[in-house]
Amino acid sequence: MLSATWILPALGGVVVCFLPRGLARLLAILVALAELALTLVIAGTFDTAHHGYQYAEQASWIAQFNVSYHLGVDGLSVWLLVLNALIGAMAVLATPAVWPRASAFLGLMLLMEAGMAGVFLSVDLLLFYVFWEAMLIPAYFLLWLWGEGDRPSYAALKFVLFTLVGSLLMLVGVLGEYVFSSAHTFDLPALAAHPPSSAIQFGLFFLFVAAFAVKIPVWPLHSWLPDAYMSAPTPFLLLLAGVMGKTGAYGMLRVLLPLNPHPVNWWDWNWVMPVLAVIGIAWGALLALAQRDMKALVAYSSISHMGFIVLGIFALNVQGQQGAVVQMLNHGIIVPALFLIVAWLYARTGSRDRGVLTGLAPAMPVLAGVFLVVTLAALGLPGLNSFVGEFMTLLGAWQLSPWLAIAGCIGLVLAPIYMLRLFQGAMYTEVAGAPDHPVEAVRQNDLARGELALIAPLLALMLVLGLYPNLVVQALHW
Amino acid sequence: MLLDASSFQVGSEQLDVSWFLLLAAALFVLGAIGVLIRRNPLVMLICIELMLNAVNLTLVAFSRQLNNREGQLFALMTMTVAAAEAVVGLAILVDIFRVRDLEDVDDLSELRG
Amino acid sequence: MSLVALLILLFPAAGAVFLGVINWRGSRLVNAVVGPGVVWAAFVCVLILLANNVNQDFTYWTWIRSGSFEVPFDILIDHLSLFMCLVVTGVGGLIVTYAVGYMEHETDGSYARFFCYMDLFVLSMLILVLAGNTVFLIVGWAAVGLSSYLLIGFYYWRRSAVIAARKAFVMNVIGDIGMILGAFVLFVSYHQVTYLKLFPALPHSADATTELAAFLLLVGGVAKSAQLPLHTWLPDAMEGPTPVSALIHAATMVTAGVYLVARFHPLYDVTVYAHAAVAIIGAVSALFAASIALVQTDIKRVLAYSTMSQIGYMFLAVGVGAYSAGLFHLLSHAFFKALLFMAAGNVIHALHDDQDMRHYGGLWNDMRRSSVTFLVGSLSLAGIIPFVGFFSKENVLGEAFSRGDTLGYAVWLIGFVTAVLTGFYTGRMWWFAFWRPASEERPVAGHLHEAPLVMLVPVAILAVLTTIGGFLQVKAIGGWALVDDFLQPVLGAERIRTQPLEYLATLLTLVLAALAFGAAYNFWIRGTWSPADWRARYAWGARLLEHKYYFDELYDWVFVRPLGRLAALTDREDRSLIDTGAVDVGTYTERGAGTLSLTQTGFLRSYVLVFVAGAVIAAGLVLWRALA
Repeated sequence: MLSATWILPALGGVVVCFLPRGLARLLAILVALAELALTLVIAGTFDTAHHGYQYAEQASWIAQFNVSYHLGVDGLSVWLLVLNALIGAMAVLATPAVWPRASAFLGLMLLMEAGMAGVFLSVDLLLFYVFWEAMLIPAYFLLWLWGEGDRPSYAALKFVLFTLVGSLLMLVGVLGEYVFSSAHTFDLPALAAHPPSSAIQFGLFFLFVAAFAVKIPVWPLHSWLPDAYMSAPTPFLLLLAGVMGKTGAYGMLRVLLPLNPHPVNWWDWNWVMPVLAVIGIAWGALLALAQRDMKALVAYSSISHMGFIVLGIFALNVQGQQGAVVQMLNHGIIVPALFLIVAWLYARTGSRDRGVLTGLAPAMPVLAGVFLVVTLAALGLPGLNSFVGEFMTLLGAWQLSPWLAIAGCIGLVLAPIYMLRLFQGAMYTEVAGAPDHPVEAVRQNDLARGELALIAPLLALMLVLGLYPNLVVQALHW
Repeated sequence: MLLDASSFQVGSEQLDVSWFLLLAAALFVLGAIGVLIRRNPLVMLICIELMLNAVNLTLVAFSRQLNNREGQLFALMTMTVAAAEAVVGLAILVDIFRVRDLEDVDDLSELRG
Repeated sequence: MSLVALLILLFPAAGAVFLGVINWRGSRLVNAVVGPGVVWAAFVCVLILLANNVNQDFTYWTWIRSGSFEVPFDILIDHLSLFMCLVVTGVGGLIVTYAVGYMEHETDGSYARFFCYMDLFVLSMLILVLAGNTVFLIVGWAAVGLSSYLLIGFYYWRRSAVIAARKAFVMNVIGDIGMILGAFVLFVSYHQVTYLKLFPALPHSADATTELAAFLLLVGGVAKSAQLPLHTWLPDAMEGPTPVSALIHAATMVTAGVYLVARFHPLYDVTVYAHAAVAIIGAVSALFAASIALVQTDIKRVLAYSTMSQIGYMFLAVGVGAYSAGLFHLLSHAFFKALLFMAAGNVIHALHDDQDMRHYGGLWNDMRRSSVTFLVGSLSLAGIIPFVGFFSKENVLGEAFSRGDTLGYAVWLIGFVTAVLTGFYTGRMWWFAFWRPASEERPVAGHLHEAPLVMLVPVAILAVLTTIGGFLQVKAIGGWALVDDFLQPVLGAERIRTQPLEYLATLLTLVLAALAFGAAYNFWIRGTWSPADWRARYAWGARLLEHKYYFDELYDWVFVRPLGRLAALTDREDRSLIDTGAVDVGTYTERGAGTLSLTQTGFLRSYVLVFVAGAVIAAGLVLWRALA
């Protein structure tokens, strides 16, 4: 069952690449929806009370080095798997029928989805690494060949170089784990049970951090992000921002911390990360404040939000890490919604400048309502999903050090300022030509039914996770 | 007809293995110098063949001396590879000749840094 | 009963969803019924709970469970929450009903949107007062901030409204963060979030933890209740429609800070500094706001500052430990301030949204009914017997006075001065806007239309309540105390007993406030004294007050501009420092590679030479090793 979860989109992606445009889109949608259904079945039948991996599949792969093809899901990965399939389906559906080289585009997106599914499924370190690199290849081509803006190839190259430097260092780390752990295997639970000495862990810690921190990204390794996000075409951006960033945080929880619990040399190096995270929270928020381009604003806000995830992970306590998992899902729900809305606004008005757009609410009441809900979720309004994650991560951080939590709150203060600027800038204030009086809404270009249906699942999830976050949290055991 | 492993008999003469090695070395150096100083690609290819044959001679000589067939097998292998290499090399040359008038390999320097 | 308790929340929630999602383009009449209807339905639920004397913590499901951190979705029904629910749904119901008439000029879409937001607000406020744990309290706390934001920015085509809305939201978020950190302190120290388990776990004497938690919670209370120094959003919030000002920015939401301190009274009872801070902030805010109200010309802004001032009284009360006195003033203030706003709303409505009192006048003749109700509210605000404001304010001041320590006397003195100022600015408002002959600048010439019945009836009901409500608790003149008795199970018995001297203080306050109210007559009607002369004489003082003590300018200068500059600086540094740093690595690598690539001469023979040389060296090394 788990093998099917990554093989289905992988095979589908390859086939889709070689089909004519119309058929390709149809098949891609079918594959993506089937994938979504499959992951939902896994999540639905998942036993939340069970500790450890479920649906595990294991086969020997390279026996000499104890590499095995070992898949499994636990509470950490199961919802991320669903998120991957959901955003994947949205990305495919959001690709219009008229799209340059649509077959290849859709096929590559499915391949990327397959790679990310593999990352979430792997229980073997080498397998994890293989999938980790595999998801990068389609991403590179998607960014390079379909990128928008002045220099998509520059953005694509920058993205690949950043991630490759990180992941090659991780490869050294992967081998280091094998060599220095007394288990001499690549199996994650076995490695976790036999960690190397803390001086070795100290070295391995940084090798892994390099890969994961670039992907998330953690300040100051974030400079690929604005270029990549600005260049990425919207459907691909959903996957890139919605899911791929989460793989870094997932790697931290799945690989980095269990395998290197005590990277202590002169000092407890776990402390480096929460400090960087807090800097990232404030830095991203300040950058978001300075942006006029709405896509850039969302991109930078993403850096700030990912900071909360890292902060929670390195709070190294239950509340912080569970909050981080919740926040990973939240961010994966909110950011695609924001990028979709920005793209829709751009398609309707031809501008992404929040200083130019104004007073769209009367003309597009449904879009305004949707935008409002997403904005509120993004700024962490209680009752919607993001609040729970931020609350828990900050509670975790408070237990580590109150100063970290207080510094993290800077992000909470700045978020409403830049998010409301984004929302109000586009939707509120004067309607051109009728500055002082409400016009009876002449609806034009409001959300189409299809678009509403596309974003509706995300809105529903924002409410569900806001009111019943335990859905996710109860499956997490540690 | 197995003889003493370390003996090579030509008629009634006993030959030491070092003669074969000396010959091979001479051939090899000739080939190498040829590759270095000649500019005609065809001649360079022939010189490479010469070097390969020098190696083959060494392999066979040692095989005989050590009474181990693997050396001869390797010689066969080398010949195969040499044949393949010659095919590929000649094909490339033919292709290049077709595109341009080539006398000197130094004209092929597009891939310089 | 657990269902009835949940229904209190479900009715407004259903109303908001219906109005916002289902029927937002539908029938106006249906919306006009549903909007207020769900609030009244919630009111009935509250009455049912009250009649059954329910006193229980209903848990519905586990909201978050993470290690030892377990937050239930629970509703705490006790006399305090029921008391607050009565105010929210009762006064709220009247105001939402009033809005049916007030908002009649809006387009269909805006009409539905308005009632959707109003119901959302009522829902949020009910969550706030019914929450049974600190985290859930924060949910309600932030949700009222949201509804307030939406309603202040209701006229979103006005730039000023949008900016005011955002300002209110951001300042409230600062308060929310105080609350969140306070909840952290309480959870980390006492491992509880539900009130019923948390309060018994508190220590019996003040320590740093309790002080810290109490101060952090107070930040939330101060922001929400527009007390110093987080008050600047409230006057700007008057950009919202008048029913909003009445409901949110007078009767309910802004009093949340008072509720907060009363709810956390076991915490504040043990603390010393935080508790005193509540009283001092309240007293200073009361005086501060009353002094600004003296010079404002926008009628809603006068009312806004008077709201801040009156909430200062409530803070003062709960700060000196007189919780039920504070809540009684909260109730009384909900009556008379909603009344004042709605009566003013009638006038604003009739004058085509003009809020400048200088353009008013002649209302006593033209809008007799609204004027009478406004007078009732004014007298109550000024603290004239027998209106409800007199009893509640004297109750507050009396409790402070009879506390008998320095803090008590100090805050009493400030409260006393404020009461006199209140009499004066209320008098100014009344004589200047209503009594004097019609101004020539009045935007509507000729006769004014009195408000329709749907607007007059709620105002009339509140006028009646304002007149007789004081007799719930006549402690000020030495009598029964129904509010104290009702709240006693939650807040405990009032510990402070009345002294004889207090009656004298009460009499003094009453007389001076009445005189101040009358003195305003001499300024604006009889012309004994000229306001212009006084202004000229104390020009610097007038300027200080008209600029509201320069708080907005200060914040702009200290926070807003530096933040903008900091953001721009970060943006620049992100490019020049971090991005360039990263790109430089690439650039130098590329340059180094360029240098190295010069070795690729393109001459086949030089490659072969290097190759052969390498082979010779390798062979030499092997030989050397073999010979050595």
